[in-house]
Amino acid sequence: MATAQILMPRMGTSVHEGTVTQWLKQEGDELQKGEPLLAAESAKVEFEVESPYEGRLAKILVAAEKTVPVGEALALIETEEVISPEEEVAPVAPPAEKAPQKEAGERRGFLSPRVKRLAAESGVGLEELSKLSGTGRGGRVTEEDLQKYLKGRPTGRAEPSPEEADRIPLSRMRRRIAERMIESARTTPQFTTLDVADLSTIVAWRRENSENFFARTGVRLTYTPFIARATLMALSKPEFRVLNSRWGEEAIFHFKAVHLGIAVALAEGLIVPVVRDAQGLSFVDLAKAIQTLSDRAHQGNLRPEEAAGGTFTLTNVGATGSLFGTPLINPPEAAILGAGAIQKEVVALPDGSTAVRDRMGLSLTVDHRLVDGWVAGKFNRTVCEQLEGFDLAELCTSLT
Amino acid sequence: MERAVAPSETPVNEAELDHLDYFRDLRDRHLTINGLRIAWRPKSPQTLDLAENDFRQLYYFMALGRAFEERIGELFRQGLIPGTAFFGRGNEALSVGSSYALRPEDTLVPMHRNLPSHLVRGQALKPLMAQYLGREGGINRGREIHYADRSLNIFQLISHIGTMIPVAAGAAFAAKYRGDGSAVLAMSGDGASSTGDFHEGFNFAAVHKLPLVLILENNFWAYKTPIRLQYACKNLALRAIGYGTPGYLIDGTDVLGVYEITREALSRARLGEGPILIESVNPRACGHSIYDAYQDYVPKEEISAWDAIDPVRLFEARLKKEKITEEQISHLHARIDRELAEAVAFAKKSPFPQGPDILEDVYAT
Amino acid sequence: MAQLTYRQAITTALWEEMKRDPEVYLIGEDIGLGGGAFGVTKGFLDAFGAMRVVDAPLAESGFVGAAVGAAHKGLRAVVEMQFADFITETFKMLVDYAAGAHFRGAGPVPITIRLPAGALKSAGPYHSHNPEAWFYHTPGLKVVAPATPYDAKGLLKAAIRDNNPVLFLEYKRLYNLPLSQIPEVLRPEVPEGDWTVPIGKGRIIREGKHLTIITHGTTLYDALQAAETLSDEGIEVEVVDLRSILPFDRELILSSVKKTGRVLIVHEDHKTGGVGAEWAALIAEEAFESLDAPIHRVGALDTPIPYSPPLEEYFLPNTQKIVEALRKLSAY
Repeated sequence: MATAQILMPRMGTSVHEGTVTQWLKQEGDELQKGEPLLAAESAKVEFEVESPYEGRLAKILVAAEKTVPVGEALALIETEEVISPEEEVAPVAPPAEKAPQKEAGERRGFLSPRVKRLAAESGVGLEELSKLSGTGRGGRVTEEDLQKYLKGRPTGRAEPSPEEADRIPLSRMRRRIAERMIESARTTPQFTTLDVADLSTIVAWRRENSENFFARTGVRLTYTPFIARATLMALSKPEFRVLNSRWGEEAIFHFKAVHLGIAVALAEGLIVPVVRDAQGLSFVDLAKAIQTLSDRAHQGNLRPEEAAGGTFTLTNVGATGSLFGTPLINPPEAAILGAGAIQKEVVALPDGSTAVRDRMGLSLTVDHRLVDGWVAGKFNRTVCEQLEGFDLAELCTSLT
Repeated sequence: MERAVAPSETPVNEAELDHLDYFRDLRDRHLTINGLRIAWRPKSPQTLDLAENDFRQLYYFMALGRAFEERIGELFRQGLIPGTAFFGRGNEALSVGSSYALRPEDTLVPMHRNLPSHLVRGQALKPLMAQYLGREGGINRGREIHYADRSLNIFQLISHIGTMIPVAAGAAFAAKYRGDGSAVLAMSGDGASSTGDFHEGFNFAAVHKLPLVLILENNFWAYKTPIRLQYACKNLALRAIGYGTPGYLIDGTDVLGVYEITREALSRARLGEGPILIESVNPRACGHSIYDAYQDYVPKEEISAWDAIDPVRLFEARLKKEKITEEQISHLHARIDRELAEAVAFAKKSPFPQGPDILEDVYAT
Repeated sequence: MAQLTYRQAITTALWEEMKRDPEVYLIGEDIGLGGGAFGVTKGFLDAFGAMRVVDAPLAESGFVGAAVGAAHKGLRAVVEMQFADFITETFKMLVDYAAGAHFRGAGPVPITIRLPAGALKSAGPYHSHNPEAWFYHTPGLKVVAPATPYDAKGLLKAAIRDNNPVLFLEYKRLYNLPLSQIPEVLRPEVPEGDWTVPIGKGRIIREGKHLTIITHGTTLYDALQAAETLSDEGIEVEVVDLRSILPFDRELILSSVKKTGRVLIVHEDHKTGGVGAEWAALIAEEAFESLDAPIHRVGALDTPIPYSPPLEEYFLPNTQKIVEALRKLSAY
């Protein structure tokens, strides 16, 4: 019999830690190969870790709700199977093993009346308090600890007091979004440039062909693949590679492939599945990939890696009818393009006549460290032009 | 049998003191002893400096005190007295006769059985009645069951009766300090005579020759304790010897005798001779307090003798014979009834004091 | 302006008040012919005469009672208890009579009882007591406890002028303390002239932000030394001298506790039922949410006062015990 470790998996290129949300098996439980062992989440997604072996769950090493670095052992499994040497560890000690003695006078959770009052006055909730490490007896948080923490804390007293509000517990997703957005705003100097594309041709074609397209491809034709395609075309031009890149402290990295993030709005918040190597996909494949990921996101079935590793993101700022927005970059990407609502407008044509056209605003936010203003503006115009002169011939081919 | 007036300063031998039975001798009114400086000296009324009106006044205060206390008893049974009440039935001659000898500038330090003494000093009936009912209109506005109007130069006692003796000595010290010629009359009892404070206070007054007259009212009982369990000396007046001061033993049922001796003692005290101790023998013709079932422990023969030595009746009988008509007596009693009715009406109308007021009175400003 | 010793400050206050007010007089044992057991009233008999410097019989209840009775007549006695311990002789006179006299309507009792208090090198159980807790429970009394020459003079004058019975604790240990041994902060100049220290007001002797010591009397000296030690360790201790302990400076206690959040209460008297318990209760009632640590107390042990030096040292609070308590509180 061998003992194997189950490790915290890496769920995305920039992910360094994961949180065990729930153990689905208890110590001593028999395990089938591929059986879900625990539920976990990363900054990007929620996922389940499956047992790679048939055997028995010998020991849980990381309790639920704990966050550990990627690669940390989560559990030990005893199995009769042959396992790779690097997974094998010493057999589990007998269950009689003594739990680590609690420190005498363990008081990490104790809050003095003074600390409680100061926390309440400063709008620091109990949950937030519980995250502070204390220097008092038994590790309790002292007033001084809290004062130090408050000095480094961004929010001030000007906020309305928590007593005046309904308390909505933070969902994991909301917290992740918040962390990501703070990171975005904190690490990246951003600006947004606006342009308007004439989508009349595409709107007309789509109206005519969407049924047929669905019949042929099984894809419900939205405008997203058109915008994605136009963006990919623009990104393929050498002068716009900088928008598909990443800022490094020593250099700027221009990616060869475009891993296109498609923001999907869910009730709980936004998630960004990624179409990998999108630059090489045909329109139909691109549309299929987008639909698949979007569906999986809505169903909560996204695999961790499917929501990680993007190089450029498309988002929708027009779902509620807005023409423009100022989207925040999804770090460490260099740009995000927000599509506004399509609406009919009276426009002056080059010949001086007027016409009613279907128009759409494009809001492009870029990392100003890499992208200069004129490059951003030019890129945005290029995307507009790609949409206005969209190659519908290819599409027609695919429908025949 | 009319009382036999003993000649003053009749020498008696020490042996007679051994056979002294206060109760029997008092009842028979033949007590005539004088050992060392201890005197039993009821004087003939003819030698007193009292005018006709003084006799009526003395009687009025005794009768008023008696009637007031009887009215308190009625009010108590009606549930109008919140705490308890102490009566001085049987000591009216002592209370009235002694305080009648005081000058206005003198200080009276009474006990809880000396209600008539307050009246002699000028205590108005309405606040006194309101005091018993615990009302805002009472003398100390419901703060304490004991009372005294300071403006009448009366000290308010505390229940530790012996403790009042050093306090009285202090009042006498102040009189000497100021040299104002005033004196202090303090009333205490056979029970308080056993306390250390009796000794400490009287000794202090004796050492510093302070103008203090201390009357020990020996009424045979300290609550339920008989005097044979209270002290072992022949009598309390004899104790004066131990302080190098004069002592008197007097018949406390004879208002004129009490007046005369107290007056003499006060004038001696004023002269700087030091304090004087007077033992007054008179009955406590009631219980310790209004709750006290004295019948359970006071011998029947003693209770049955109370009438014969009732100081109010004795004085009334004497006045009727020599100084005052039946009609005048009825007239006085009518006045007393009227005054008491007015006092009761006032007291009942007086509001109760308000709780928060007490917070203001903890410290003097 | 002068620097006075503790004893000189008391003597000076008595002298000035006797001169100022002919109704102020002294009474006690051995104070006239003997000049007082500690020499505080030496020379007073000659200067003021036997009517104003009264050698009383050895009977505390008797002469305190006399002082009370004379007070009803407007005189102001300054009573010397030869030792604070002997005040038990006159307990009822103070607690039953004097304390409530004004409230009962019996009239004010403007008397001051001087109480040579505290331990003094193997003085034993009848010459070492700190009597304040015996009287703390009695509304109507005032209790002051000066620890410095300045406060001794100012508070004694205030006590004599007060219209209530005031127990004036004076510390035998401080009588002979040479000026050179009194810390700078505790020996401000003692001015002449007509001034008093208000009864009921404490004083911050040393400012600090981490911990508060609340104390009075002799332990103020120990507390200051302890604060010095802790300061070397980077912990700033605020030292509050209450000076008056009934009534006491509630606002000062509360404001210091609100500032530091950690409190050590120190007094020379026994810990259990000592006056510090009342301050701890006040803090718990009024400043609970300011506390960052439990309230601690240092006081004498709960044993009768022992005689032999090592026993007495073990029994009494001292600087080292305070330092240890401060460290414990600081580490909480």
